[in-house]
Order: sequence, then C-alpha cells, then structure tokens
Amino acid sequence: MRIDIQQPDPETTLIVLDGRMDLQGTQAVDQRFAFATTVHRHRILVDFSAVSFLASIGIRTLFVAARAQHQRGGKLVLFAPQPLVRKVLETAGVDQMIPIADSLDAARELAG
Amino acid sequence: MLAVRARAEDPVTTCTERLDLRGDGNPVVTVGEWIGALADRLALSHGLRFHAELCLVELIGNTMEHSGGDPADLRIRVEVTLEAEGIRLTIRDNAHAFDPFADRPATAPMHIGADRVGGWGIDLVRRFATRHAYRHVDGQNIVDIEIRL
Repeated sequence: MRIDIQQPDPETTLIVLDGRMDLQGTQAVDQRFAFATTVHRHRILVDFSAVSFLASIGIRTLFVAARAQHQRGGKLVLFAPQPLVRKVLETAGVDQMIPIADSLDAARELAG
Repeated sequence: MLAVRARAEDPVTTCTERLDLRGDGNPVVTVGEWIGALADRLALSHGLRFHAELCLVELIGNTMEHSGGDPADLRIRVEVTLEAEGIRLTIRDNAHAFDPFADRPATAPMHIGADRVGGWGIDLVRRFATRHAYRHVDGQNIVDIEIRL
C-alpha cells in the first residue's frame, strides 16, 4: 500500500492511495494518513481510484479521519473508488458521512 | 507456527482447498495472502476473489476478537470449495460458542459523531455473501458462506 500526500493549494490536501486496504496495507499507511487528516482543519480529497481492496480495518481509518475533520470544521471527500470498493463503502454506510465523488473535479466541488 | 494443508480434488468442476491456522500466527494476514495466491492459481475472477477474501478476513478477524482465551490455543480451519456456480467457504474454530450473525442489526449505524468505531465486518459479510449460516457442532463454531456471482 502506498500513500502520496500533495498540497495543491494552501487549503487543500490531496491524498492518493494505491494498493490494498487490508490489515497490512492499512497499517502501512495509517500513521501518515492520520497525520495528514486529523491534525489540521483542511479540505481533504482522497483519490481512491487505485485502491483495489477495502476491509473494515480500512473503513476505520477513513472514519477516524472524517470524524476529526468534522470536529474541526474541515471536510473529507473520497473520489473515484473502484466498483467493488464502492460497494464496501456503501454497505458500511461510509457514504452517509463521507461524500463520494466520481472524479477529482467533482470532489473539489463537493468539498466546497 | 502456521500449518497449511491443501488438497485439490477435481480441478475441472470442483476444487477444495484447506488452510489450518493458529490464533497466535497472525491468521487475518495469512488467510488474505493464502486466498490471494489461491485465486491466482485457480484463475478466479476479480469479483469472486474480492468477495471471498472480504468474507474470510472479516470472519477470521471477528473470531480473533471474540474468541477469548489464549490465542495460542485457538485453531481455525478454512475450507474453500470452488464450484461451477461460485465458491463455498467453511470456517471452523475451537473457541467458545459464538454466533457472529446473532443479535446484531443488519446494518451497523454510521454517524460522524459516533463514539463507536468499528462493527462493520459482519455487515460486510452479510452483504457480500449470497448465503451465510452458523452452527455449533462437537465443540466447534462452523460458519458456512456461499458466494454466487
């Protein structure tokens, strides 16, 4: 699992995840993801297009990040999940608290 | 240590593979790697592999969470049967009797302000399995999963 963190503008963080968010994959990126998403109020866009597997351990990581941004007045938006990963997100109800967009542009709009 | 025992029966129409795990051997990671390698070897579709792996890692993670006792005493056997219509998973363990599907809402409530973090694993199994069942036989928990895509 790889994570790439970019700051395209002062108010936005773009996080690109690549790989499998299973137990090992999530543990590999969890610290960097948490630091990027929970410490400061930000507009956070998470590129999910290269995430090929998602288990509940990965949902926990997303939940913690979204809750932290919610408490700080920030926003976290996921975009472009693969179909089965999207099904996991929707089954777990993640889409009820984290907006899911089809593209980066749509994610920017949702993030405001 | 991990003990692996695998057996292929009829490679054309049906194939059964088995994996024996110990609770102190990082079974969630091991089963994920095992089903991935098995899926490659049997040329499973991406969808079938995804569904099977998700059900296995969530169920074994759940077993680890609820087994109680010393992980070194926990024994888990995973059996995967590839059939013409899909795949069948059987997970047996020797922990105390515990039905993972009992007394739980069909869908865990999700709220951004919730204190509780987690509880999604069994909901995912319910949704991604075509059929799921639990029984307790001869001191073993047995979970049967069918996946038909």
